[in-house]
Amino acid sequence: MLFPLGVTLANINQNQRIAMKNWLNLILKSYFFIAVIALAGCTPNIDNNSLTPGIVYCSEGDPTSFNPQLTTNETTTDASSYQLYNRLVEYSPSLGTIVPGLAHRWFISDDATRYTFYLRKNVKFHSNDNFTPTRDFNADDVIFSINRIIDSAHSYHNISGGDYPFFQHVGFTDIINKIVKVNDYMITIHLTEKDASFIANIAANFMIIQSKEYADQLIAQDRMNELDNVPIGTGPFVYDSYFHNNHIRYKANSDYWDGTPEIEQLVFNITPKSTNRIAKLMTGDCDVSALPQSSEIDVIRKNPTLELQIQTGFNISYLGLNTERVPFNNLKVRQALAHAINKKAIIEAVYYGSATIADSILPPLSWAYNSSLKPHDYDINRAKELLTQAGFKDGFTMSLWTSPEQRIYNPNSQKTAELIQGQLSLVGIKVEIVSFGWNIFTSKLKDYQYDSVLTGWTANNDDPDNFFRPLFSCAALLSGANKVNWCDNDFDEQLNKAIEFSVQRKRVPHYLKAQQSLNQLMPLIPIAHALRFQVKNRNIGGVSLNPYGSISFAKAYRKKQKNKQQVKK
Amino acid sequence: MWFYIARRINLFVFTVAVLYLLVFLMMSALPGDLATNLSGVKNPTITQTDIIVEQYKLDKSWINQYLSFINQRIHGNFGVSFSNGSPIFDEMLTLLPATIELCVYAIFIALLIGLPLGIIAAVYYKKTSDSFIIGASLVGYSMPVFWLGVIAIMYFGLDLQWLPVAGRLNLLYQVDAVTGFTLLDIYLSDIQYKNLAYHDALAHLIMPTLTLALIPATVVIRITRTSMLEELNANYIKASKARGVHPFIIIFNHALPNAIQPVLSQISLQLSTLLTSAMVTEVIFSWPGIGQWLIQATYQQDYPTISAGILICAGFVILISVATDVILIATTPQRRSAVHGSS
Repeated sequence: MLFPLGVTLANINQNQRIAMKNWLNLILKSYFFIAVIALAGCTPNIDNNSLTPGIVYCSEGDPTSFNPQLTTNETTTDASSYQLYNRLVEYSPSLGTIVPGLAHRWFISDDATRYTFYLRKNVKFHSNDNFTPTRDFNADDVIFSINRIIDSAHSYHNISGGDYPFFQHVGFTDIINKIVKVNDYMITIHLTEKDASFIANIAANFMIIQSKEYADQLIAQDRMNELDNVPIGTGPFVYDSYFHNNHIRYKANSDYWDGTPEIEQLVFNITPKSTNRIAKLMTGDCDVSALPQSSEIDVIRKNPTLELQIQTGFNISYLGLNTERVPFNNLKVRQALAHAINKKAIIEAVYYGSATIADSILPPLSWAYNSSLKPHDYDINRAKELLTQAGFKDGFTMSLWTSPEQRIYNPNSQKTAELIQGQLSLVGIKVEIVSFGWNIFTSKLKDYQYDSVLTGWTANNDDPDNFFRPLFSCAALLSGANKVNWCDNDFDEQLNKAIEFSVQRKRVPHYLKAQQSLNQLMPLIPIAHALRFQVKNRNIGGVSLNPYGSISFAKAYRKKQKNKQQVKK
Repeated sequence: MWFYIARRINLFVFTVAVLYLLVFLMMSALPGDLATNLSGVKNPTITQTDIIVEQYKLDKSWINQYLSFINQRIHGNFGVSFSNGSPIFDEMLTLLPATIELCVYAIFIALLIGLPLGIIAAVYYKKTSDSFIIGASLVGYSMPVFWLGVIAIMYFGLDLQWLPVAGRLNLLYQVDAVTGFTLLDIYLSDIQYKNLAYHDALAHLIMPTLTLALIPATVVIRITRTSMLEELNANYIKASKARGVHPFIIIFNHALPNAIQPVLSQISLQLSTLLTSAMVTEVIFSWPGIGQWLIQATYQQDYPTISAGILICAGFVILISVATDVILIATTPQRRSAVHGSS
């Protein structure tokens, strides 16, 4: 509007000014007309996206890469594990067993050290602008994907940092002796010793299969970094684009071996704030949302269009006691603490009831759960008595380390720490809370400079070994994962005996004993098993909540019938 | 006239130079290495350090440093971001359209609402409708943007579920950012459901735009009213009335063209307020614009990004006010007597 007026810059005479005024006049009149129309026509109308066949998932953050092998970060596995890739075998949450994945059959030798996998034929890798696969998935891809992790001389081992945290935890490098390619569709993995949890580890979110052909092409093009950032997999969705801090877009893989997904596209709407995720869900910008906070559960329950999915999580939040330091080297003090902590109050105040009280380190859902453990009930008098017996009649001062960041097993560690501080003051123990950001916290813990630590663990698979070995074995003491600074040979022996059997029934007694000794020796005080939540619009089906994390949209669909009715309304 | 424009350009150059000087001094006063703060390269290698020293003349006197700082910035080198290492200028280019889009629509809406109401208030001076409009505009002017935005989200977004509360477009519509303006991008894209996409984009626009438009709209109402009153009391209007000219013609043909100039100059003055409110609005409505980006940068103590934000936003405001000034002078000859630009 102003630009044509500038034409009159050079010289302005009377006539032109009149012309200009008429022109302005016209503008203003038409402008008024528009104003009336626009204000009258401003009836807000929300669009249900009923015609766009896709699903938007509100995720909580940016993935670190698109390769879950490189991390145990759940945001990354959510964005990649089940969307872009497959594993040799998959864990089925509904059946509770291992089911075929890229391997349609597998055999375990009698001595349980040789695993033979028969691979599926006609499985196609994705293609993108740079890469078009010339062959189907075969044994070379499996060998490439495993070797990359275990062979430090592998050309891709050190690309993207060279850290494979999950595989380091479970000792993949030591346990795998060699991988033999029998033919293009059959491989045998030789283990150095029996390991009953091996098949569960092969089915873990992290053990994905990448394309060797793509990797080779990237070497030739000198673009090796792209393997983990411009991903190629065999999964139900093909990577389309990723905008940092904004969104990730996937397209359906029309050649998917397990049936093309019903939705045409999948979008991850990256929304770090939990309240924003709920708001987007309510207004239809998202269809499924990650990690609602416990305090928001009521709002979600009241909304008729939303559905809250709940799942007992395979996780544990605990107060670890540094058993090498005074006074926690004294069993009586540890037991006194167990009696002095009111777990019920913590679950109500921190989890808003969205957790179950933990008596054992294993959640009750686990097949190895010991239901006959004698719980340490909340009993201040008993706690005081034990403290007196231990010679700490007047209490003592202890440090409690924690991290303020939200984790799956504890939505608010800081608040938990403050509650514990208050509860322990009743028995005369003075607690000093020390908190660090998550990354500093985990690195500082390795020095064991604390009296007690409030932390937790989320299991990666349903094998109970996953709870004990990384946290309490003597081996974990060296890697710094054993936060309680505790090494008990009897306990270790039970764990080692347990994984010698591949039959579940034979393993159970050892795990029962292991839990028994943890309960007696109390190197830690289990607090809660947090429930896992996921919210979705009722129109969306086929998105289930996996107890071991990592969402899958392979079978997701939008209920069409219902949607049409809504549009009519 | 040309002399006047030259003076304005002169003013523009000097204001920007002072702005750059302040930002440069701020950068030197901030904790950390000046080379790192200016370039954004954390822990640079030796070759990188050499390049940075060469670019910013860090081995020379501070005047040289200052001049080369201006030189780098003018050529689009704003360094890289601390937080993700990507060039700040490119990032800004993708974010700026979102903010401009929001501001332009807000100004448009402000005029759309403000002008008619201001005229009505002036025509019905000291009548009920005048008091009502003036009262309402006072209430609107006193309303903080952050509060209004949150209330709008609560009511229209979450309670009634009429309007989306965050972002620019439902992400299911795959619209590539060509221009950065959503509506234009939808027009240029080749997606299937264009009408739905327009609808969705407009639905996303309504709440942030209205929230942002509120304060400028109230300002427009009040200025329009005042200047219309002045014109309506002028003798030439009285003469027209006496001649029996239709009131509609008097208002729109005679009074309004004269009354509108102060409104336009006021709008340009409102621009800095508008940018500030736009930042708040962007954060509330998760609008991926420059405001949200700057606030994130402040959280992360990303100095190169913050300084780039200051330079661009302040520069933008200075540029617009000088430009509107020149345009106004060009269209209002009586103002030209103030050759030295005292106002």
